[in-house]
Amino acid sequence: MSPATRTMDETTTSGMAAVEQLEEYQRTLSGPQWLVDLRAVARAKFHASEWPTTSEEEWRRTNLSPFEFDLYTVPSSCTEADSPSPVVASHETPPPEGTAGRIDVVSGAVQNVRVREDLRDAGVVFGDLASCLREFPQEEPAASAMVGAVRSAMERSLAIADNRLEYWHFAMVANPIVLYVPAGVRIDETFEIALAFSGEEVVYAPHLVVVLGKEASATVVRRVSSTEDGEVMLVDASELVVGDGARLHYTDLMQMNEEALVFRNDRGNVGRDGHVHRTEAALGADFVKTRYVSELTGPGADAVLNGLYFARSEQHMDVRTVQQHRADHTTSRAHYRGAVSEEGHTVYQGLIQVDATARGTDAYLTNKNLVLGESARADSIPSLNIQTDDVRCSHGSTTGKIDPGQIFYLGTRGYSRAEALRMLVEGHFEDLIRQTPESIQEELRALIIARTPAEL
Amino acid sequence: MKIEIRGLRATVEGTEILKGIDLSMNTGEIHALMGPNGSGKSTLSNVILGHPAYEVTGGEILVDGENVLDLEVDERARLGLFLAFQYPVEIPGVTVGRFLKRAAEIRFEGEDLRAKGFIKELRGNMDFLEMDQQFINRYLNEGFSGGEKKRMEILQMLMLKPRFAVMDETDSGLDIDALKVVAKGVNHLRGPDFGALIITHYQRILQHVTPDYVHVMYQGRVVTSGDEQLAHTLEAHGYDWVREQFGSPRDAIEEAR
Repeated sequence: MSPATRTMDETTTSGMAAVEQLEEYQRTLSGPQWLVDLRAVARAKFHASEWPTTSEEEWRRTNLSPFEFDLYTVPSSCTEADSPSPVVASHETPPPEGTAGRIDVVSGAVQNVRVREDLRDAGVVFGDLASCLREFPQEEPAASAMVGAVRSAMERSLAIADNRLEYWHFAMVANPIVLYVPAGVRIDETFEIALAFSGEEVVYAPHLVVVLGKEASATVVRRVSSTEDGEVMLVDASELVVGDGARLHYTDLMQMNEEALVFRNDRGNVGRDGHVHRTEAALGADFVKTRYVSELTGPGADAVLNGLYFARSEQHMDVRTVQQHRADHTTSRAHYRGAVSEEGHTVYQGLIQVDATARGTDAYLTNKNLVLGESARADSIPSLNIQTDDVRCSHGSTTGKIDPGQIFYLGTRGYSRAEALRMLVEGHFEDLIRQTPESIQEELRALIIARTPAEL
Repeated sequence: MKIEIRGLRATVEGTEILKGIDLSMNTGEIHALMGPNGSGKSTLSNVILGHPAYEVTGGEILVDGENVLDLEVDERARLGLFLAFQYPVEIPGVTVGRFLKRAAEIRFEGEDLRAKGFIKELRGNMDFLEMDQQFINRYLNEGFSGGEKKRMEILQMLMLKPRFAVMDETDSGLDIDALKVVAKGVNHLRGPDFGALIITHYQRILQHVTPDYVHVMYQGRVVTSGDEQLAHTLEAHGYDWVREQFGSPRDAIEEAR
């Protein structure tokens, strides 16, 4: 055990301010030296920067000035994360039927990690970084390859990070979750990641790194939720690193309680002929500002970026995607669907960025919004930035209301107004729901239906 | 089911379209309602089902003696009324199978659809209407051709077995094969438990579905009623005959404008 992993049990971080006492907090965090160093670099960048303001294009419609970031405290220390019990569980307890693995984390504390044994034998590493490092001796090729890949993914993200929330994230990241699938290992079953959070004015920095080796394939479902009432802030980030010819199917369902604030900076990176299919569903929280940058770095790489979001009450959701074409003959498709009701406000910003090196790019983005109330607002801002010829890029967006003719049609078949409305709103998202793993489809439908108003 | 329409007046956006309609229809009967474009036929069908865009300004619609004007469209549907649309809307994201199953649950409340062999019946009816089974998994009416949409209306009618269906120009725009399929559907349901009001501009569909009664609508009123022979008279003389017989000089002037 490295010296850094031992300190946690002795120190309590309860009540420690996440901005003012960032350095003290970092001293309580364990992990390998490169992670400690990464946090320190991030802290320096954090202190040297300001919170984004509405004068920046990306933040023009999301105003952070009312937030008092100084009030938020870090989570109280989670000794469970370092206890040996979850590691034992991963050896002996199989994951739930039909899954490849499952990790449960509550308020930063790892509850258990389970991985199918045959996958472990095949060199798959799954779990929180701390227990993975304990479980796999560093000499094991899978472990050292995993650590190398996770480290370079995180260091690269920090190197290209461009805003204070991202720096803050890397300064606070405690114990990232990792999935490493070695070259050639193809897994049909789903890896499930369940993160639940609680607290009042507590800020968490969950991190996920998925690395698929050459021609590997995996499916991941991550669920992010609240365990109870209380205002939690998530400053979230993930890297999805897809090797040459590899295929990743990733679904993220965020259903935090309606006090929560969610900031997110996710990055995807797809190698030659690789494919990533990512769906994000924002079906919770009071305030959401997310960004997903999907980089296509190898020729022939392909990305699907799907998104669902639904803001009601006075919720604010600002969702941004970037389809970044860096290599030739890369393709990407973004399909974002939103709904907004009551006083809700949604913003979708979609950028197709084609570098000079990306001849033969084929990129498309579409955004469809359903406005379910006079005071609700949906903004759609697609844009293109193309640095080369010989590309096919297009975008389209629509913002509309429910057609009363549809309600009448369903009424003639016996559907009440409320039921017709639920069916139409759910139908607005159905195309995207159908592309997610079956295990999560009913959940998505139910969450959308629960958010649908009874009357227009 | 007995439907009595008495002195029915309705406006849309302030313009009076129905100017006092009287009609009496029963389950077990097939009525045809003919008339030139703009006579108010489609308005009547929408008002019978309770479309909110139309304001009823007078008269009543009694179903088995009870005024249904205060009922919402879905409540009227639950009584066993049905409307086959001239232009069915698309319902994206809702498959035909899911939509029909739920509609059948509502229509046959309390009955076990599985025990009733719902899926088997659905497949059987699709075969009967010469429809591809793939339609079950397609989103309702989305990307359907005009003829496919009309067949889908008839399929729904076969599955939901209304006691009385209003068919709003279901025949318009159909080629002869599709028209025969529509007629086949109506004739299949025809019997003591089913009635229909077939609204049409043309006499053509009535060659395949013989009506018990024929009504002619003109300028917002039912101007004459009769049996099948009336349809033949219309066919022979055209709607000019209606204008000559029933149009007031004032109407003629209005039309000429």
